[in-house]
Amino acid sequence: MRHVGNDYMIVDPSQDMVDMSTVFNLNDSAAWLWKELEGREFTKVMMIDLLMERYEVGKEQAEVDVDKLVEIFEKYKLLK
Amino acid sequence: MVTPNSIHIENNLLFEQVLSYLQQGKGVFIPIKGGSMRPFLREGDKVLLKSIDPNALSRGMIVLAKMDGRWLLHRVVRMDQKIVSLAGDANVAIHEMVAYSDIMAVATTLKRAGKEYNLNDKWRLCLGMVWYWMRPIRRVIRKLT
Repeated sequence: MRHVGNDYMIVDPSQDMVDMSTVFNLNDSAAWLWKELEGREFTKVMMIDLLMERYEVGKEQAEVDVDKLVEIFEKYKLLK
Repeated sequence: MVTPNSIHIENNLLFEQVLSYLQQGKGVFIPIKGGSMRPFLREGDKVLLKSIDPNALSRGMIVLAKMDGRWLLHRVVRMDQKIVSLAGDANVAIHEMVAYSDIMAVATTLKRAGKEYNLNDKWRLCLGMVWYWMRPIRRVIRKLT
């Protein structure tokens, strides 16, 4: 993930090639979460805990958000 | 939270990223914007950029160059000792003069409609140059039409 201008962006670095035409734009909270979890294994529970700690949201809201985010990550194959 | 594609990155920021990947020895696909390289490159195409040794440059190659803070993806049409002349395929008159050190990368592969084409085989380089040499004729045709 890189910070480009005012945006956070994930580029899919497949092998020795980078495709700048398929980049993903993240908002602040998604970017922060990505940074926290980058390079390690994580579970939805961990993500929910992190969100609740940092953003003072209720568990229900955090669960809904994490479900949505993971769904999107999976849809675009951003997770291993 | 996450939106794929369709985000617009300002050119300077985009190419800063591209450069850093090139310096890591990676190839970088970029989408073609605008029509300055028509008919050879069209909006919607993607090209693969790779860093290049100035000694390996040759006429007919399409290169990424930085000129006066502007980024160009144009064709090498003339190589002098210190200066390389570039031309957009769609243009009938203008050249851009850059130093060898301003050339950041060469386009090696064209991806169009799911297919890939080698941009640097002899035939394609030659075709690009013939198109360039036809500029005087293309100028006349443009005036007539």
